Amino acid sequence: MDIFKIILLGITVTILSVILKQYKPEFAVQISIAAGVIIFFAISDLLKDTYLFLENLTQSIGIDILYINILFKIIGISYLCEFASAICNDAGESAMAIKINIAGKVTLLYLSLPILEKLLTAISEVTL
Amino acid sequence: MDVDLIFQIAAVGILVAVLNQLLVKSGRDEQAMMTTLAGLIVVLMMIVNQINNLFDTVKTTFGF
Repeated sequence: MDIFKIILLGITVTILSVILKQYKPEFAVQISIAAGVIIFFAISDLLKDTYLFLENLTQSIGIDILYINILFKIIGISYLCEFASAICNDAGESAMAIKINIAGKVTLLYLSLPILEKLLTAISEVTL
Repeated sequence: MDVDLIFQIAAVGILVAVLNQLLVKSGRDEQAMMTTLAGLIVVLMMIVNQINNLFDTVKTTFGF
């Protein structure tokens, strides 16, 4: 998707939400959410292509597909958490944004446990 | 990249703002509050559908 269109969209949405913030602040938040969703759809096909490329690459090299899946789950979760906490920050609710960030970090930690376990077992086999 | 959603929300926001001023100036504060709420709910419904699409796409893209 053309990055210039996304930049222009972002600027117009910022101007619109500044205008609306004077009269109806609640609509300004809605506009930024809508813009975030549209920008994500603009880049989602790029993400799909990278996922397919990585999948083929790992299959050809022989690395376990599990890592790539976990990697993309982590990317997805961090993107969504960033999306939500940025919206909360825009609306002025920084406390909610921090809570979402903490929840995201805990989920990421939980997701990376299998990799940690494999790493430690590999190290212990080498040292023993 | 359908940007018409953004302009619909902006239109509803500005319309509600104008209607609100109109009603407040003519002394009907309750109706002004009701129109603001109605506008908010309409926009919220549009946003909820889009967010639903977003979560579905994220699920499929990132293989949840």
